[in-house]
Amino acid sequence: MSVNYEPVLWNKQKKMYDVIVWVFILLSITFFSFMELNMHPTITAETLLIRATAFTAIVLLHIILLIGPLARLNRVFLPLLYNRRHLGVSMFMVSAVHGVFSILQFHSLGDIHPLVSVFLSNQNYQDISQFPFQILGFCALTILFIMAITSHDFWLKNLSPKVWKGMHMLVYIAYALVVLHVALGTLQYEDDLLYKVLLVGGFITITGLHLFTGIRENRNLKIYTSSLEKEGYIEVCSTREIVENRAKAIFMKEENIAVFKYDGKISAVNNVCKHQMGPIGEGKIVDGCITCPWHGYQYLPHNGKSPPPFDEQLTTYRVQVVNQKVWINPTPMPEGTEIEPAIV
Amino acid sequence: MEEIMQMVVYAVYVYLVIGLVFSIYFLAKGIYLLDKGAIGSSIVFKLLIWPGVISLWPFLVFKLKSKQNAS
Repeated sequence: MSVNYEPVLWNKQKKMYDVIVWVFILLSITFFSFMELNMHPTITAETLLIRATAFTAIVLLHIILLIGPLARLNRVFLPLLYNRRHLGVSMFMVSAVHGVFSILQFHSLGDIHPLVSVFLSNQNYQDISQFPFQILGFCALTILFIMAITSHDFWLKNLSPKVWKGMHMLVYIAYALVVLHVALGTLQYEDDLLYKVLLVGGFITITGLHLFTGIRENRNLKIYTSSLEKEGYIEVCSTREIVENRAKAIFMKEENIAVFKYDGKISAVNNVCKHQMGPIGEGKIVDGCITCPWHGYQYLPHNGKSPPPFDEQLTTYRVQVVNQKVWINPTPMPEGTEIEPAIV
Repeated sequence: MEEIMQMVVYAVYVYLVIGLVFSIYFLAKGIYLLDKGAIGSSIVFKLLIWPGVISLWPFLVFKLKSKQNAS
């Protein structure tokens, strides 16, 4: 969290994260180059660079897409999530080297503009083996470019978290375009089975993990009906079902609510973080504040306000505890409204 | 088809040149009207958001106009 914008919010851990990312990138490019030189000794330096950066960028894209579901399955992976933005920008830089060198090598030597050439040099749309896969790669790179240039918190705030998140969900379209770009491009000419196995294996892993975590979360997210409703309050659980300093996430009357237990009290706030719409209910109370598990944004449990000087606010909900049962009124109060916590 | 694509590419160039001109005003003055959090920010921060300002200038113009109309 920051009141004024910093160029990059680095700390010791994030610096280490970035060092590891760039060491990995350099190792991946080196490893792939040696492998390619071994298989194709006559390969040119430009082609080698194009292929090595493509391989590295795809590996990074897979890692980026795996971090989300892995962090939801096991908290051990959460530290990978905190700096995913830097990983994304690094991946774009590697992809951009691939894209620029590809355009220079294959589209800049003719009479027409290189960008026009990308779209018009091959128009065999009916033939899978000759499909103009370059266009797919160009579109994917454009999406990654938009994501990279809007990675700063300035854009998150000014585009609004909802628009920003929607924009960054385009990564899945970029991924689909990249898979098609490789499948209809390199794999049409490449005899080596390894690349096909890697691409298909990666695709199955990513879609499988996303489906698995999605189904798992839907099962865990209890939807409450009005059968236990009294005077606008709905019984949601026993106080013992909520772990101290943690929350229970519930969904009722179209409201996504996180019910926290702390210091012998119960408070309820909206379950969506104002920063990047992270799952507040999967966080915990740290120093008296609800702390989002994604990037550490904090809110006071009784009023949903970020502690001064920050100004983020969550919707709060009225809570009652009767005979050790937690009752929630799902009618949302205005953001930042102070609600007396229920005593356990 | 080639002519149409050529025109599209030139249109993108024009769009980016307008964005470049707008970015000079925005990074010097407009950003402080739009977002108080940018006051006192460093040149490195401005350099980091610069490509976005050039690329998304119509959005920022709209935001600045809305802000001026509201105040």
